Amino acid sequence: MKNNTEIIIIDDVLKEDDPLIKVLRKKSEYKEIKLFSHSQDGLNYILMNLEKDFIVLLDIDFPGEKNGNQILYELRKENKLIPVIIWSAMDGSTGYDFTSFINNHALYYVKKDTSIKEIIFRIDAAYHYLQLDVASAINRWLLLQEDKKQILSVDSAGTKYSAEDLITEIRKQTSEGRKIEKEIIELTIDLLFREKVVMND
Amino acid sequence: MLDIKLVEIGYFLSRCGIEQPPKKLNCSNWKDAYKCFYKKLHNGKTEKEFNNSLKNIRDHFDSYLRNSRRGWHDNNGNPDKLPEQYLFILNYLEKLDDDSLWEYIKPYAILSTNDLYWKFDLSTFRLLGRELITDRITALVELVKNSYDANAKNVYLEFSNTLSNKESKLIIRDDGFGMSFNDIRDKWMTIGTDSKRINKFTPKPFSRRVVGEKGIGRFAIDKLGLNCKIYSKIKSEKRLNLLSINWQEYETNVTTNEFNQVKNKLKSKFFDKRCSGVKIEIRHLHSIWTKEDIDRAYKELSKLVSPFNQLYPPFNIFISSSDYENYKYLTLVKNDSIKYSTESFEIKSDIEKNIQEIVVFDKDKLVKRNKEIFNFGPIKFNLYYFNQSAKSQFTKGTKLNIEQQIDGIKIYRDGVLTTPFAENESHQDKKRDVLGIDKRRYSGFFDRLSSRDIIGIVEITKDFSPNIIDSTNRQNFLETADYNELKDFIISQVHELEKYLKYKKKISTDILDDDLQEAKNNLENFTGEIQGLKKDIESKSNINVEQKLKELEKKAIDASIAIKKGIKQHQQERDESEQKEKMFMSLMSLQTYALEITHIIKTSLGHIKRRAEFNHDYYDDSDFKEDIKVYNEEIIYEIDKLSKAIEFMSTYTRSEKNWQPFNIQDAIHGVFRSYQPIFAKNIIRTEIDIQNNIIIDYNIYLFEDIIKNLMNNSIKALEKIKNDKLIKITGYIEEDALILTFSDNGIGIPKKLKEKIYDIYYTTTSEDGGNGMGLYMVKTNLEAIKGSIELISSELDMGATFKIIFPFKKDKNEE
Repeated sequence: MKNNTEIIIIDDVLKEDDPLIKVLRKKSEYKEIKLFSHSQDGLNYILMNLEKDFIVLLDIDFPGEKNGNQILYELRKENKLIPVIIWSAMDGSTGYDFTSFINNHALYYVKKDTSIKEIIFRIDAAYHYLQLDVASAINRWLLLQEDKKQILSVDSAGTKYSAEDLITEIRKQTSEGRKIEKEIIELTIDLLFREKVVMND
Repeated sequence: MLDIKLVEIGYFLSRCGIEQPPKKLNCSNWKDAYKCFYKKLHNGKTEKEFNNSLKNIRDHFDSYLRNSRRGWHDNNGNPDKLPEQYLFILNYLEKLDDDSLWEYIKPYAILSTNDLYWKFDLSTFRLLGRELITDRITALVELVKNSYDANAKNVYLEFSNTLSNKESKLIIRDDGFGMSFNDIRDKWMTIGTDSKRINKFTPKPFSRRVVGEKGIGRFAIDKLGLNCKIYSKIKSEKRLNLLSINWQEYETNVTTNEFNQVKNKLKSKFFDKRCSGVKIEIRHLHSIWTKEDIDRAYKELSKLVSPFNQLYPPFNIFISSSDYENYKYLTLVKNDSIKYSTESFEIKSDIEKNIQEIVVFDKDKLVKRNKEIFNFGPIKFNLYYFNQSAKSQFTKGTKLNIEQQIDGIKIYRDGVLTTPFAENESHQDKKRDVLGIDKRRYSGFFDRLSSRDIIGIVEITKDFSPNIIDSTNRQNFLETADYNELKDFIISQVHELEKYLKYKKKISTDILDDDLQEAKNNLENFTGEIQGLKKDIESKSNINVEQKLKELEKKAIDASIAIKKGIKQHQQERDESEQKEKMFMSLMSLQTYALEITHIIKTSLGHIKRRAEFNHDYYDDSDFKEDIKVYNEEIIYEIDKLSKAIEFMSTYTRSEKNWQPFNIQDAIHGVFRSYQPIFAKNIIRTEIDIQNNIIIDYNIYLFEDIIKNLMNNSIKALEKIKNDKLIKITGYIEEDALILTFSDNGIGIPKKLKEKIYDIYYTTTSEDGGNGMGLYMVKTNLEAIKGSIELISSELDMGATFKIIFPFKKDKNEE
C-alpha cells in the first residue's frame, strides 16, 4: 500500500461503477475510494474523521442540497489543510463565479469532461502537496503523539498548548498555528544549514 | 437442618462488616446485603425467613468475635457458646485473610456492585434500541419523557461542540426524583419489570400520567452517542450514583451473543445535598447536530405537552447549543403557535352526562351540537385555521419556520403528544400525514384545507379511549375500528370548517356584486333624469333648465362617485387576484435553461469520455473484460440520449414567443384535446380539475412537454388494463406553488423503480412517444425552476400518481 490517504468523491451523478472509480480502486494505491452522492453526507464523513488523510474531489451542482461552494466553506471552517479538487461541469463559459472556491483554498479545478488520466494526475499532485505541505506534516506529527494532553508549547503570553490544541490551531490555520509553523520552518532551515557546515568540515 | 453455606456467609458478614455491610457487597444496608445471597441460597425460604436466619448466624458470630455489637450472650453476660458446626466452620475460615475469604464467598453472591449486567438478552436490546427508536429526535423525546415521568419541573438539554466528533457532548439533566442505586440495577437495567406499568400516575402533587410506558427511553442513549455517563441522586440517600456505559464494547461483543456479559461500571459516592435528579452525559455523538436539527428538536419538544393543558406543577423544557447563536443560552421550549389563527373552534365532552360536542356548519356559521359520546371515547378537539395573512403574522411574531409549525392535526393522550411524535423527515411533503388530511386534496377539491393551513389538537385519555393504540414503531396508530371512527370524525369536523370558509369567500364576492348593482341602478336613474330634462327642453316648458341641470350635475357627480367606487372595488378585487398570479409568475430565462442543458451535456460527455478512455487503456486487460463490454453499450446509449436532448432543445428554442404568461387550464385542455384520438381509440376516460384563474409566466412548450411526457407514460401503463381506464389531472395553488397531480389507474410503478424512473439511463421501451427524454427531462426541466416531481402513493386503487410542484417566484429581484 502506497499510502494512507482516502479519496473522497462527492458527486451526485457519478455511480459506483464509473470507470474513474474502477481505475482508482484497481490501479492506484490509495487506501480507500469513497463516493458520496449527497453533499452533506460527504462533509459529515470528513468532519467526523479529521484524523485521517483525505483528498477530496468535489462537484459543484447538487440540486436541492448544499452546493460545492457551501460544502467547501463549511469544511474550511474546521480544516484548511485537506486538498480539495473542484470537479464540475460549470466553467467560465457558464458564467459561474469561482471566486469563493479560490478564497476557500480549492487546490485544483478539473472539468467534468476531463480524462481519467488528468484527474488521477491531479489527485497524485494533491497527494504530493499533502506530503510536502509543512502544516500537514506538523499535523501528522502531532497526531502521532501518544499523549495529546501533554504541553508542547508555551507562547509569549503564557498560554499553554498541548498536542491536541496545536492540532486545532494548525488545522484552522489560526495566527498561533501559523506562528508555530513559521518558527518550525525557520528552525529547520537553521538546523539544516548548521549541519551542512559541520559536514563540510 | 443447618445450611453450612449460610453459616459461612454469616461468618463473612460478621467478620468483614461491623456497622455497615462488608464493602465488597457495595450495599448501604443489611437487607440489601442479605439479598445478594438470597437468589442462590434461599432453598425455598421466603426472603424474610432467609434474612432472619442469616441475621441469627451473624449475631452468633458477632457476639463471639467482639464486644462492640451485642450478639447472643449467656446468663453470665459472656458470649454464647458457638454451636459445634459453627466452630467447625470458624476453624477453617479463620485462617483465610479478608481477600481470600471474599474469594471463597464470592460465588454465592449476586453482586449489586461495580460491575452491572443488563438483565435481558441481546436480541431484545437490538429490537428495542435499534428498531423502536428510529431517529435521533425520537431518542431525545423519549429521554425527555422519562424526565416527565420522574416528576421533573425542568429538563435541560445542552448540546456542545456537536460539529466535532471528539469534543461533542450532549447533557440532559432534570430535577426529577432521580434513581437510587437499586433503581438503576433493578429497573433501569432490566426490561419487562417496568414499574411504570404498575403505577399509572406519578406521585403527588404531580399526578402525571406516565408516558414512557415501554421503558425504552434508556436505549435512546445508544442512538445518540458512543459514551454515556448517568449521574443520579435521590433525595433520601446521601449518595450520588454514576453509571458509565460504553456502547462500543457491546458492538465488539455482538459476535459472542453475550450482551449481558458486558460490564457496566456503576459507582456510588458520598454526596450530602438534599437534591435529586438525573443527569445524562453523552459524549462522542454519532453525528453532527445542525441548526436545522436543533430547530427540529425544539419543534418536536414543543409539541410534547399540549398548549391547552397547562400543567401544575409545571414541566419546562430548555434547550441550548454552543454551536449556534440562537441557542447560545438555554431557551425555554414553548408551544404558542395558536394565537395567530384566523378561525378556530373548540369542542369538548362531558363523560358524566354522556355528551360529546360536535360542530356543524349551519347556514352562515359554525354551531355546536351535543351528541352521545362516540365509541372511540370522549375527546376535546381544538382546530385553528391560518390564512395567508395570519401565516405572515405568525412568521413575524414567532420567527419560526411556518411550514414546520403549522403542520396539521396531532393527537395528545393525557396531555402528552402521542404518535407520531418525532418525525424525522425535514421535507414537509414527505411527512407522514397520519390522519390523511392531505390525501383528500389529491382528489382535487380546492376548498379543502391542507395540513399546512391548520393546527389541530385532539385530546384523548388512555382510560376512555383504550382502543386508540400506538403502533410499535411509534409512527402511526393501529387500524382499530375505534381509530378509524376517530379519524373519520376528525376529518368530518375539518370539513365543517371548510364549508364555513367556502361560505365566507362567497359572501365577500356577493357584497361586491351588490355594490355594482347599486351603481348600475344609479346609472339607470341618471339616464331617466336626462330623458326627462330632454323632454322638458323640447317642450320648452317654463322650467328653470339651469336649475335642473345643476341638480343633475350634482347627481351625475354622485353617480360617478358610486360607479367609480364600484369599478375601483371590482378592479381592486381583480387586481388582487391578478397580483396574486403575477406574484406567482416564475420566469426562467432561456439562458438559464440553456445553461442547465450545457451542464447535462458536459456531464454526459464526461461519462462518455471516461468510458472511451477506459476502454482504450484497458482493452486487453483481463481484469476488466466485462466492464469494457458494459461501457461500450453505455457509450452508445449515452450518445443516443445526447442527440435526443439536442433535438429536444432545438424544437422549442426556435420561438421566443413561447416565453410568456399563459393560463394553465387552457394549456392542459389543449394537450388533452390533442390526445383525443388516442383516448378514443383506447377508451380512456379523462378528468381535468384545474383552478381556473392560474396564469403562470413560463414557457408553454416546456409546460406542455411535462404533461405530454406524463401522458405518454400513463397511456402505456393503461395498455394492458381491461376495465375502466382513467387519466386524471388536478391543479391547485398551495402556499407559493402550483401543484399538479397526475394520476392513472394503469399497471403502476414497482417500488424498487421509484427512484430509477428519473434516471437518464432508464427506459421501458424504445418506442415511447413524446420527445423520448421522458421523466429525466421533466425532472431536469423542473429542477431548473426549483420545482420537483415525485411519485406519490396513488389515489386510485392501482396505477401511479405524480405530484409536480411549480414554485412561484416570491421575490421579484431573485433570479
